Parts: sequence; structure tokens; C-alpha cells
Amino acid sequence: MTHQRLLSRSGLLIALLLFVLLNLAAAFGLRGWRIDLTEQHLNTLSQGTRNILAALDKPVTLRLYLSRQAIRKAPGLATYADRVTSLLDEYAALAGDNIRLQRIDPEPFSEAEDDAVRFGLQGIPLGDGAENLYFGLVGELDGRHKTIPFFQPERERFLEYDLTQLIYQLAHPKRLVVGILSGAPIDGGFSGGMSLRMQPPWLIVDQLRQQFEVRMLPKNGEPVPEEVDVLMLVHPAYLEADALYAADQFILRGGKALVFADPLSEASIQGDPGRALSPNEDFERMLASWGVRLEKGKVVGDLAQSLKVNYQGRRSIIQVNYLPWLNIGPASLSEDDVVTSQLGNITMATAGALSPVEGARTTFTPLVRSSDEAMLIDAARIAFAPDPAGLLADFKPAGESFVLAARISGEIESAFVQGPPKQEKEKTSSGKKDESDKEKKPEHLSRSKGPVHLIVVADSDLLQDKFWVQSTNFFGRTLAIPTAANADLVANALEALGGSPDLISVRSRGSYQRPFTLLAELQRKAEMRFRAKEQELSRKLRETESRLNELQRKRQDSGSTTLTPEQEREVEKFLAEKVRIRKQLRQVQYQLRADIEELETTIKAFNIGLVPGLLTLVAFVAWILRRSRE
Amino acid sequence: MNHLKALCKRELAGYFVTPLAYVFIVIFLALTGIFTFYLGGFFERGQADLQPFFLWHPWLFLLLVPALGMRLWAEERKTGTVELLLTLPVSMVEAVLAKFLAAWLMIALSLALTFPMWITVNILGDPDNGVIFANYLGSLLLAGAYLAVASCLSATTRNQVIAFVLSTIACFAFLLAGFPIVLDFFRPWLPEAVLNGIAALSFYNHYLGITKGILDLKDLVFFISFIAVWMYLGAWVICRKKAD
Repeated sequence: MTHQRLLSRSGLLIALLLFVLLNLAAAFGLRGWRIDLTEQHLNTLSQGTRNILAALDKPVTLRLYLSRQAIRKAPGLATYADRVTSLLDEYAALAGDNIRLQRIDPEPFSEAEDDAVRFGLQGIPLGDGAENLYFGLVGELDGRHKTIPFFQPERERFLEYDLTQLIYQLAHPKRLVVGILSGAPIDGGFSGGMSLRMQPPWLIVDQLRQQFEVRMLPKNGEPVPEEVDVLMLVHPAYLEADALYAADQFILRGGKALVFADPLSEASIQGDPGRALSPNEDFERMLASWGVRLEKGKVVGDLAQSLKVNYQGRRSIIQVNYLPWLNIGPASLSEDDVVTSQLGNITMATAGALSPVEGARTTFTPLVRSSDEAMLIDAARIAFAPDPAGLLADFKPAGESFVLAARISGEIESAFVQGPPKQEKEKTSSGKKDESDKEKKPEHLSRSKGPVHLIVVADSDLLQDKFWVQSTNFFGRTLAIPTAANADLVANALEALGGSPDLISVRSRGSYQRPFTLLAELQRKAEMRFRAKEQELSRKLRETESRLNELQRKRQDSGSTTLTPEQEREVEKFLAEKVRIRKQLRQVQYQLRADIEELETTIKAFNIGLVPGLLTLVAFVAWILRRSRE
Repeated sequence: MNHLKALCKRELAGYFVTPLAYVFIVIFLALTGIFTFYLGGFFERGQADLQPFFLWHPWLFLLLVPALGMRLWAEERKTGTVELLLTLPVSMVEAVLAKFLAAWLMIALSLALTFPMWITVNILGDPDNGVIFANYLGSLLLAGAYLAVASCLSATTRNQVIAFVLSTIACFAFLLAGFPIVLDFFRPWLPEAVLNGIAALSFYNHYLGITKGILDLKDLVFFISFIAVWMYLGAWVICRKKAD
């Protein structure tokens, strides 16, 4: 019978052999045959990567160093190694001959291990002795090398970006050239005001030099050099018309610019607050030509995101929220944009509010916003001796969030309709020199050649050291320890403006974070109730304080420190009120906790108890029915 | 194959005559719930996905699937009905397949009844339902692989307890085949290539691949061929032992 033949000893051998062969064929022959079930296709190579690979014109060698023996002792890593390997296979398959993938197993004390060390790969020592685990990549093109020292599983979601960036950087070795044109003392120099002191350059410039080729541009109106990829325009309101004209023409020529347009630059305010408040009409025209409006003479105060400062109160130093100094968290940063997604907190000081001009032809995409609990404050109140407590007392939320930074793109026209601004010097200098100057200057453009790309940030103080970095002297070397992600914001923005759009599209792919939105909503609502109560409390405190002061002034012996019965009554009334509001505050917090706990308990009961309970009931009924039938 | 459907139906109905099906499903549901919320830290993570839920499936199945599979053949063998079954006009393949499919459907039903978890994450946040679907599929395939092993080993003995213990140990070994806990046992006396082969049998690694939302053909081929080969082994054992 065939049955017997099928289940004979040889049948068994054949079955086992078939199993092994089938799986070997699937593992090696069907590599990359897969369906990506994730909603955002997180596991499929993006179009950006495909474009970058298609644009390769020379073969890139990718050497994957993977210690096959050692990795088996770390099974979690082994799974990730499979993932990296299969992704690299996909790269190689997509790029055809332009990617040469080599797998190297750097066994201990081998030449391959020496190579791995030479290229800067990181060997992870394993517990049992001299053996090192290597799991990294070396890319090579025309003798240049780029390395991923170790594939960290924690960076799995950036794996495609890291690989694509490595290939892109090999194929495009030139560093971006950033030209800085600044009205603020970013490059050091003598500080304004009473004390003329030499100031060092801001650390941000140092930081940017590590990643870009930075050039400080002269402010005398010389055209921006052609080799500049991105123009960084800092506090342009302090620049003269001819310098602004140079920037305007650079942008119209298709240049890209990162603009820090500050309604009030704290760095430039010293000694001359009057000038800080006077408008620069040329720059206002420039903003208008981009289709952007910066609220004139106003800065954004944001209660929910303000920094606390120490402030000399009437009796002692107190900590208060200083409304115009902002500490902006990830919730206020655009998640969809490469510049701001996955950025930490950033700080800003006396930032302005941006909005699109009605009927503008450019598109305006907000990147950074204030919270809803924000208002516009007169810049004059801050320029002359700011009073943090007073600002807080007058806080009235406008009920909307303000845009603090935005991307602008589209076709624009020149802000200098009449052509280049007339220079005083030109008029007085000799005619000959005038002519030779004209020869050097490029032709005036009145409209852009194609769409322009700008990022406008309504603050320049975020570049100042004190708002993002602590520098300490470490044996003669300056160590910069960032306290906020301001430098990352600037670097991201410059890279995004100057880099390849393909690479940007890879980086800004879907998010792996999927928070409980329902719980966050509950928390937000409770937070709002809490803040309202808190404000009520501080308002009552201020009222009492002013009433006490009033009473004190009315007294004949106003120098005395003892309280009159009237004052005492007032204080007692306040204390009672304070106890009442504090109780309400606690109540709000308690209620939030109780609400969340109740929700959690309901969910647990729903998931653990509901179906088992129903099933038990069904089983019981079935049992009764069966018994009654018997 | 006409008999397959009828046999499978009869087997499945058999589960619901005794309290077995109810006990199995209730224990599975209660344990997954408790593990997800208390050991998996579902609320502490604050993420709208089912990772803390699926994380425990390989371990829960390790206990529950051999419990379901141990009686498949050991019981028939003990009561002597195995001879009777094989004298019926059904093929050996049909008999093995029917028993296996009925038990697998039971597991599928248990998994389907965890739907409140799916509803929960969809209310709390915005989960990636593609990944959740992949996880359910991976979980079902993993349970099928366990069940195939348990079904085969239950045919080797009349004693259900022995069948249970053997199956649990075997499934544990297959689950962690790629891990040092298993490999170190073979390392001294097997060549490297064979060790690689053993590591490739790891349920855990194949399962992990699917749970990330990538349905790789090699993982699918592995689970399906693994189930097939163990069912064949089961038929082979029953055929040999018929005479005992």
C-alpha cells in the first residue's frame, strides 16, 4: 500500500530532507520576499532612498563587518543583524552594480579584525574573554570612507536614514557652505553700552563649523558669494539697507536662507533700548515680499511654556515665570517636518509672532508654535527694565497659539523695487570708482528665478550662549554642554535647506511613537483646570498685597513694622482664602488621578474579566440545559 | 478528504461537550490579560500598541498548548480507540490533520476572543493595526508549531502527563533554539554548520520577525513546513506503534 511506503523509514528521511531543503531555499533563494504590514510601510525602502541610489554614478563599496560566532551569544542582536543584512540586500538589489556589498567576519586576531579596528569600528567585548563582537559598516567611494561604528538596536527606526545618509555623503563629499550675515554680535567684538568690553564669538558658530563650512559675510553690501549654499541672516533689523539688498538678491537668485527675525534682540538691546525698538523699514518690506508678517513691536509671552527666573521681589528673591522667555517642548514643535521632528526642548527669548500676509503667493508652514496660553506683550515693556511679576499679573491669554518659526516657499518679488539702494558713500566718491563697482555687481533681479526656500525664526536670542549651552573650561579646553536643542534646530534647518530633498524625505518618515491620546487629553483638561485655580490664587495674593500696602500707606506711623488690626484682618482673610484655593488645587490633582485610575480599572476589568465571565456563563447554561435534557 | 471536515467537526464538538474548551479559553484569556496589565506594564508604557500583550504569548503557549495537545493521541491510545479510528475508512493523514486542525481552531478561537484588547488600544490611541494583524498571525503560527510537536509526542505514549512534559520540554527547546541556553548544550560535539541549522529552527526569531509587521516568506515557509513535518512524524509514529 502507498500508505506503508509513505510512512516507511526512507519516507521519514525524505520528509526531513525536504524540510531542510525547503527552508534553505526560502532563506537564501527568497531573500527579500516579504509583505510590509505596517501602516506607514516603515520597513520598506522609501522613495528618497530609491532616488539617491538611482543617482549613483560610481560603485559604492559597503563592507558589513559582523562577527558571526560572537553574535550568536547575543540573540537580540542576532535578530537585528538579520534585519540589517536583509535591508542591505535590498539596497544592493535596488542599486544594481552601483553597490558592492561585502560581508566580512572579523574573526579574533585575523587581518579582517585589524581592518575593522583601522576603520574605527567599535568592538564590544563579550563576557567570556578576549573575543570582540563587531557589527558595523564601512562605506568606500574613491578612497573616501564613512563608517557606522556599531549598529545600535536602539537606532533601528533610523536605520534606513543612517544607511542612506552614509551613501549620500560618500557620493557628495562637499560640505555645505553657510554664509552668516548678522546684525547681532554673533562673531564677538565690542559690546555696546556703557562698558566697552571685548566679547568672544557665540558658541553656536563653533558648533556649526563642525558640520558646515561657515563664512562670516561683510555687512557693507557686498554681494553674497555664489559658493554660499545657505544664507543665515541673523537679526536683520540691525542691518543697513545695502546689506539687506545683498541678502534679497541672493534669495532671489534661488539661494536658500535661514532667517532669525527678532522683534527685540536681547543681545543688541544693551545700552540703547531706543534703537532696539525703532523699526527697520527696509527689512519690513523684505518680510512683506516673502508673504510674512512679524507683529510689530510685540513679543510672545507664553505662560505654559515660560522659563522661571530669579527676581528681586519687595522682600526677597523670588522665582517667577518670566513670560517672554520660552522653553518650548516637543508638543509645540511640528512633528511632520525634518527640522523639528525628534528635537528636544528649545529655548527662545522675546520671540515674535509670525503670520502669513493675506493674499501672499508663498506657502507658510508653521514649525514652532507657542501654547494656547499665550499673549502678545509690548516690546517696550521688556526693553526698559522688565518687571517679571508685573508681566505675570497682566497676563491675559489671547486664546490662540502664535507661530514662532515657519517654513516659507514659493515665488517672490524683490523688496527693492527701485533697484539697489543709493549709498551715501557712492555719491561722494569719484565717478571712476563708481563705475568699477558697478561692473562687479551682478544684475539687479526684481523677481525670483523659481521658487525660494526660507525658514524664518522670530527670534535671534536663541543663538546666544546663555539660552542653550553651558560652557566649562576643562584643562584649557572649552567644553560645551548643551542645555537645550537650539543648536540642533539651527543645524537641522541649515541641512534641510541646503541638503538633498531626497535625504530629507527619508528622515521624516513615519513615527513609531503612538501615545495614548485619550489619557493625554484627560491630563491636558485637568492641567487647564489646575492652571486656572493657580492663577486665581496668585491674583488673590497680589490683591491682598496691594491692599496691605494701601493700608500701610494710610497709617500715620508708616515706618512701623507691626500690623494694625485692620491689616491683620486682611492677612487672615487672605490666609483663609489661600487654604480654600489650595484645597481646590489639591482636589483638581486628586480628581485627575482618580479619573485616570478609574479608567484604568475599567479597562482592566473589560479585558481580563468580560469575555471569561461571559464564557463561564455560557458554559454554565449549557451544562444546565444538558442536565435537564438527560 | 471528504472525511476531513466531518472528523474535524466531531473533534471540535468534543471539546465543548466537556468543560475542557471553556477552561482552556478562560484560563488563556485571564492569563493574557493579567500578564499584559500587571507584568507587561501596559499603562506605564503609554503606547497604543499590543506589544506587552503579544510579548507573553510564546511563554503562555508553552504551558497551554501542550496541555491541549497531550490528549490528542495519548487518550485514544489509552482507551484503545486508536485501532477503531484507524479501521474506519479514513486515511491516516486525514485523521492526524483533523485532530490537529480542531485543536488549532480552538486556539484561534481563544485568540479571537482577545478582541477587547484590540478595541482598547483603538479607543486609547491610534495604533498600527497592520502590525497588530501581523502579531495575531505570528501568534497563531507559533501556536500551530507548538501544537504539531505536542500532537506528535502525544502519539508516543499512553500517559498524558508524560506527553505533556515531553511536549513542553521540546517546545521550549525549539522556542529558544537560537539562544545559548540550547546551543551551548550542543556546542561541544556538533560542527558549526549543524549549530547554525539548529539556530535557524528558533521559533522565537521567526516569531519576532513577524511581530514587527514584516511578513517574510521565509518565516511563513518555516512555520508551515515545520507544522507539516511534525504532523508527518505524528502519522509515522502512530503507524509504527499501532501494533503495540
